[in-house]
Order: sequence, then C-alpha cells, then structure tokens
Amino acid sequence: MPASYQRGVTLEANLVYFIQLLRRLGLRISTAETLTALEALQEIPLDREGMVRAALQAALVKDGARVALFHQAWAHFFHPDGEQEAGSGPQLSPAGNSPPETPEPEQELLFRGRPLELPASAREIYRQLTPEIRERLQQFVRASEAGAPDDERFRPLMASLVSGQLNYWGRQLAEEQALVDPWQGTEMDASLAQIVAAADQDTGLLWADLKELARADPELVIRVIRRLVRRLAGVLARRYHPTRKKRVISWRPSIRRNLQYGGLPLRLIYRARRVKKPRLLLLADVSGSMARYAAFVMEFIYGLGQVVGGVEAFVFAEDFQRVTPLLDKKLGPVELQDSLMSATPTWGAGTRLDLALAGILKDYPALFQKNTVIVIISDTKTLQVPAAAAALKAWRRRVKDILWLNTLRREEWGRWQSVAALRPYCRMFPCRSLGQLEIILREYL
Amino acid sequence: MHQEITLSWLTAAFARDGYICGEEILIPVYLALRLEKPLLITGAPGVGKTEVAKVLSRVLDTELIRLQCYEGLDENKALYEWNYQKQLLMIELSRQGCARGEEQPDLFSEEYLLERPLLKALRHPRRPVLLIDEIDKSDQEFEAFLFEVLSDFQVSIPELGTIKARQVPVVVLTSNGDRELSDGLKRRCLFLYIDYPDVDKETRIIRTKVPEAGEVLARQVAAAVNRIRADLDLRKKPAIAETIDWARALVLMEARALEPNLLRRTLNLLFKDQEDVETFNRELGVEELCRQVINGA
Repeated sequence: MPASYQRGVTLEANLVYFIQLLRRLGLRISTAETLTALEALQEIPLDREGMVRAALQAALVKDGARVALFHQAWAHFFHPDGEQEAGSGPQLSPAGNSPPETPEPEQELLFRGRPLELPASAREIYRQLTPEIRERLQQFVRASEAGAPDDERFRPLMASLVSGQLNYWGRQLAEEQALVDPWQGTEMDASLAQIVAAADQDTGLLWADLKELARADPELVIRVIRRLVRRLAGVLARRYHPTRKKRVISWRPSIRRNLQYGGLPLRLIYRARRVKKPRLLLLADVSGSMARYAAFVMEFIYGLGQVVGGVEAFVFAEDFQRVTPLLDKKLGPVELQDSLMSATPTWGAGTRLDLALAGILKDYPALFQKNTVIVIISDTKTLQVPAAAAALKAWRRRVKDILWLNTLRREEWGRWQSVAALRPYCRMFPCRSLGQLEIILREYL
Repeated sequence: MHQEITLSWLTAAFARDGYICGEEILIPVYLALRLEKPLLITGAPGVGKTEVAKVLSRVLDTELIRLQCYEGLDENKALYEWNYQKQLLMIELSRQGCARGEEQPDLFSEEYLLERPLLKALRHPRRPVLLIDEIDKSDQEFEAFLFEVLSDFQVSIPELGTIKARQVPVVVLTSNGDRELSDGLKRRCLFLYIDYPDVDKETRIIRTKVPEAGEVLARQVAAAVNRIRADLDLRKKPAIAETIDWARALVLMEARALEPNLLRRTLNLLFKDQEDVETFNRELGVEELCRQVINGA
C-alpha cells in the first residue's frame, strides 16, 4: 500500500491507505471510526483541505497527544513533495480538478501510423511505466518500423514483440512493488521516520527510537518523560472500584433499591473499596547490549522516581544494584547515572539475569507482594538462559504481574532463544519509543 | 431548533456569540450536530471546553442540561431515582385508604420518578444540549454505563420499560485528561482537542471578552502568555481563562501596555502554583518577558 496519496484512486481507498499509515504510527483506529470518517467526509466540502483534515481528525484521532503526529502524517501523505497546503483540497477523489495525464499506448505506440493491437493487460502495464521506459519502447517500435518489411502481416508479430517486452516490465514492476511495499518494510519505515522527525520536538521525541534519546537535548527528554510519567501517575491514581473480595453493605442505597420490594433486602448494594495502587518495581538492564538505551533508562527511572512515590528500582548487568536510595536523594539524571556507574562495577558488562533475579529475591523478599508489578527493561540477551527463566518463574509466582519492555524489534524475537524462554513468565512487549512505552504502561499497569 | 444546521450558519452563530474559533473547532462541532454523535472535548483546563456546550445551547436556543461528573457518581444520580419519600408517604396514605376500600396507587409510575440529567435529556421535547462535564472524574463503571446510553440513546427502567430519546440530544463530554477514557467511549464520540490558541487568536479573544483592553495591551498580553506557555515547563500553564482574568485585572489597573511592575503585581492571576511562580522568576523573569514581548509585538 502506498505511503502517500494516490491520484486516480477512490476516496475510500486513499482514506484506508491514510488510516493504515496512522495505525503504523500508533493510533488505534477501529473500523467503526473509519466508517464515521467516511460519513464525516460526506458532510463537508472536499475541496477545502483544512475542513477535510479537521473532519478526519475529529473522527480518527482520540488522543490530544497524537494530534501533532496526525498533522505530520497528513502533510506527509497528502503533500509528499513538500508542496504547501493550498486552498484547494487534497483531491481525495479521482474527480479532482486536474487529473494527471495517463499515457495511452494507442497514442504512443504507433506502428506505421496506427496503434498496435495490444492486450488490455499489456496496455495497463504500459500506463504504469516510467517515461524513460515508455520512451525506450517507443524507440524500439520506431527502429523496428524502419527495418521491418513493408507488409501488414508483420504488424501482429510486432504487437507480440511489444507485448512480450511489456510483460517483462510488468514482472519487474511487480517485483519492485513487492520490494517497496511500505507495509513490508523499508519504504514505510522511512515514511514513519520522516513523519516522526518532522513532527514537533516533543512528538518527535515521543516516537523516536529510544537509542536516539542520548543525542537529544537532555532537558527536552526529561520534560517529555516527566509529562509521560505524570500521565501514568494519573492512571495509577484511580481510586475506587467495586470488589467482591470483601463485601461491605452500603445501607442507604440498599434500602432505597429495595423499597420496590416492600423493604425486603433482595438486592444489596456493596461499598466500593479503595484500590491499592500497585507497588512498582523497576528492573533495568545496563549491560553492554543495552548501552545504547542507558540514557533512556536513566531518564525514565529518574522521571518515575520524581513523580510516582514508592518506586523501587534496580539496575543489573552481571550483578545488580539498588537505585532507590539514589532516587530518594533527588539527584538529577546525569548525577544519578554517574553515581550508579561508580556503584555498579559491572555497568556495560555482560548480562546475568539469573543472578540478578535470584539476588534481588533473596536480599529484598519484602518487595514481592501480591500487588507488586514488576517492569523490566531489557533486550533479554543474557547468559544462562534456563536459569534466568527459572528465576523469573519464581518471581512470577510472588507478584501481581511482570511487564517486560523488550527493546528488540518484534520481528527479531524469533531468533532469540532467551525471548522464547522468558516470555511464558511475563507479558512481553516491544518497546522502542517513549510513545510505545506510554501505551504499554497505560494499558497494562 | 428550527434552524437547519449548515456550516456557514454555525460559523456565523459562534462568531455572534463571541466564541472565537477556527475550523479546527467548528468542523467537529458541526459534524457532531449533523451526524448526531457525542462530541468528546479534551484539552488543558480553561481552554474553553465547557464553553462550547454553553455556546451551542445558546445558538441552538435550547436548554443546557449539565451532568457534573465526580468520583462515586452513579446511575441513580445521573439517570433517575424513585422518589422514595413520596412513595413512603403514599404507602402510609394507602394503608388508610385501603381500610376505606380505595384502590392501591401504583408506586412506580411517572409520578414517583425523579428525572436526573441523562433521563431529562432523553425525554426532553426539544433537542437539548447535554453537557457531561469532566467525565474523567467519574469511575470507570459509570463510564461503561454511560457509553451504553450514548450508543442507543435509550435506557431501560425495569418498572417502566425502555425509554427512547424523543430527540437525540446534542451530547458534549469534556475531559481534562485526569485519567485515560475507555476505548469504547472514545470510539462512540467525535473528538475535539482544544489546544492553547496562537497569539493572533488569543488577541481576538481578549478583544472580544475584554473590549476595554486596547489592541496594544491585548496583543502584548496574548504574546506574553504565549511565551510563558512555550518557554517554561510549568505544572499548570496559564489557559485562556487566566489570560482573560489577567487582561481584566490590567484594565482595572488602567494599564495601556505591559510593564514589569504591573506584571509583578498581577503574577498570581497567571500562575496557580507557587512552584510555577518560582520557575517563571528563575527562568524568565518579569523584565525579560516584558522586553521580549515589547520587542516582538
């Protein structure tokens, strides 16, 4: 599917392409919302770009934090050449004001002044060819014309030759399209990277690869992470929910409800209980393979420690180190990293997840409660994989949940035995940007 | 509501009512009216989310029914309740009446029904504007209940049966983003995110709401607030409401243009958090802000 607006394609098709692009950028858009977007487009003039954009935004983007990304995706999709938005619309429908000229083989492939009789499939391929290849074909026909005998019986042979060439180019086109199919890889990834790079600073950072954060302005990174963590703190602060575990009757509403039964207590109303906030235990991998992500890890631990109270944090490589006392000292992220590096001699060394997991459980058993949620940031690359899996299994039995934020791409997971071994004991998510991190924690914490 | 809703009519009506906005706000509002879908408005506090519903009720010349959400809000307070005091009285009276051979009253008739905002909106004879304010303050269970009501615009009252909306109300939900709303609710709504306005738009807003402020002061106030929002990482950025309050205060102090001394004396109208005041003084300061605004204006 194309990563930019296609002329000559129906409005619905272009809308679907655009929605696919938005989905790849992390926006969750359901079919119902797609249909609403189509309904919305029926209500507004399609030649007013601002209105079309506002309508699609209203129907498709349901999070204020994604609005800037939507605008960037819009610019990328509808103005891929960087052309400025004009008063006229993006011409979603093929009935635009100036439809592109379609090359017609009947007009361009003339043999002795008359068009060659080509099958429909060959004519369609011709229309998709670049001007250079079309010119080559035209030259071929002209050259053949000069050397061919002056005999009309030669015309079908010529048509057959040109069809053969067009079939060859058709196969080439199909292969190229398979290669550049943005949904399969490179072109779409490049598109996404362009959109993210061109988004405003904060949005760009939110969707940039985590390993790029080390290069960004630390102040800006802290600001974005703080904002993200503040939003998470809001999620953690959900206070009440009804429960069946410990039922305490709420008398006043129960009496009201049961008046209809003549005062017989047939339908009881129970009090809602205060939800216990989960205790967070953060475990971050600072081994050599995660070195590129160290800046992010530090910023995240720092941000979380600043906003959410009672977070326990550890870093690990070949050994582990408790970070919580340093968080309590309110050090800045850089000082925090310096202190940790000096306190953790194995920083940047190999990974022994099994030792870290077993050691933390042994030294800090009180941290493992039924409301503890463990968040592990690691690429799973560790020595002694079976022992690490066994240790993680032991953790899993003692806590509410384990969320594993894996910095490896999901496509790479199959290649790593460690992923297969550790996954049964945790919920593992690919986490390569702050935006992804936010979605994961918001939904699963 | 006899007026046929067209985009040009809505644009003119909003302008007449003094709500300054561009098509990024008008289009979602217009679509919500045309497609009869709820409109979920989010944005920082004070950017004019609730005002959209108020303006709609005025321009559509219809009643605004407001449901203010809070923690613990349940369907009894949002939808309907039986008037149990009246029922108890009637039970008592009917005991005496039965002794005299009178017929027993139906205690679950409309006579004993107390309409709460949701039911009132569904049964309203004219298409009302239903404002569900600060939906993020309510519990998730209430939100789940709400999106059932909003998807079908009907409710079932066991004793009375199903009540369908006479007219599909214009539903406006607002959220400050205190907590994430469920996907189900968001999917059923059109979405409008109101961002802080740019300097030009905020100048026009000030000129509309505080006409006594001259063009120069209005522009300088808008530019100053814009710079504060852009340059400082604040816990609570000053919103349009704060800008208007500040402009009013400056007018009361007979200011014609921004001055450091005036700014210093009115800072507490802009910042609602001591930490923010300290951040402002440390990272920008009144003199520097005035200098930048006056040079830039």
